[in-house]
Amino acid sequence: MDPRRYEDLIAAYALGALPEDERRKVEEYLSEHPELQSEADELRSAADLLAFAPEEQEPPPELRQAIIGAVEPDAGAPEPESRTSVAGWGRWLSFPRLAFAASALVVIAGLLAWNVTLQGEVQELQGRMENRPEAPQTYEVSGTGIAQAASGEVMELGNGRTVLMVEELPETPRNKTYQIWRIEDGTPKPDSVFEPAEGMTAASLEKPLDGADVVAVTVEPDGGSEAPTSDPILTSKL
Amino acid sequence: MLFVAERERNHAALADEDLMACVEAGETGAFAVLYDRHSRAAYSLAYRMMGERQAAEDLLQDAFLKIWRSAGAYRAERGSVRTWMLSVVHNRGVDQIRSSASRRRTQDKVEASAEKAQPSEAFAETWRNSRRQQVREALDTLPPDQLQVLEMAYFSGYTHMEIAKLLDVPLGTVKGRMRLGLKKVRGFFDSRGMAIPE
Repeated sequence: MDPRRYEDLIAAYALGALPEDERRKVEEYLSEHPELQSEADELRSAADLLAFAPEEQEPPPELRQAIIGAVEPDAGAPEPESRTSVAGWGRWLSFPRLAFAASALVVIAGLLAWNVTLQGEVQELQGRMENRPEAPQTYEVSGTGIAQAASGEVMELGNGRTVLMVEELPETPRNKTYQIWRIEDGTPKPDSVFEPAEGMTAASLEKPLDGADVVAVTVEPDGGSEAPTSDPILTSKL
Repeated sequence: MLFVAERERNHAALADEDLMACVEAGETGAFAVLYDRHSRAAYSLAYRMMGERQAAEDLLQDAFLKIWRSAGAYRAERGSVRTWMLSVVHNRGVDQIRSSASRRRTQDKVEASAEKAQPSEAFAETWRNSRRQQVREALDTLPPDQLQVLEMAYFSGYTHMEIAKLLDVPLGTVKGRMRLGLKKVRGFFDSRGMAIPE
């Protein structure tokens, strides 16, 4: 293959639009010319973006059972107990992990205390609200994906204060946090970040709900994001 | 047994890359967590490629079984787990489309799918700044003829020669549109100082 021919085919290669024989020739050429790999990778990453474009579709719940069920017999070779070998747990209980776990415990303890305080505050506010003519406005929260089992509500407590209360919220992945978004006229506005607590999680919104149509929660990198980087796992239509 | 239960529970707290290592070791709990995180995006792609529910479900099942068996092939330095999983769905989808005896696609179907790519007002569309919206904005900057060849290649699995034949344009024109289209998508993110979404 000559350089002109390669140039001619590289975009179709990145899109997976070459027949098998031409695809192999491009790959051979690339292996002989590693200096061209970065350009090929750039075109490939642009092509990969197309995967994110389709309209969102929710897979049927029974498909999950079928797929997870299909791999379970396949996993039969290593029995669950065999995966608890000392070597395996050695990896988990290595010093950096222990150090990480220790610092995580401190953080969790702090969060727990904050959560308890916040829950107390919510209860107190709820108590106060009971003595007032108007009841707090609540909106149902529904979960999907990793938060499929979660449920709860968004509570407007008055004076612009709003709290998200959620049960059965799973832990976030490492280096990730939950973030609340207020969707106003189709635009997600960033709100507070929070960590889940065992049982009931209470998270206070930074801003009032005025003008928001939906409250949503996504999993974001630690510290939160300016714009969502993942799909919502909790939503509440207001 | 306590350790096993503990570890299963810990899967939800692991990053995708760590879950891949667990899947490679045969841990179905890790696989289930990856499924929960990425099945919606994967199914959306499968549905877009196959055009109907049953075929999309079959493709999703086929792709996730491939992911289960090939977790060791994942290389973190080549991109995110999500992108890798979607590439598995895409590759399996293209294989299925190309091997299908009754290659159901016609010129009409191609044109119809191009129309479907227009933004809708569904709730998900509210995420204007989300990854999907960013990608759509990038695609919206393409001239229709460039977008059309990218979609025909990526979603419908056509080769460049088939596209040239279907559109009745020279092969060189199709290759040029592909190259310009991909460069323009790339340029959309570069010119705004935005990272390519993973």
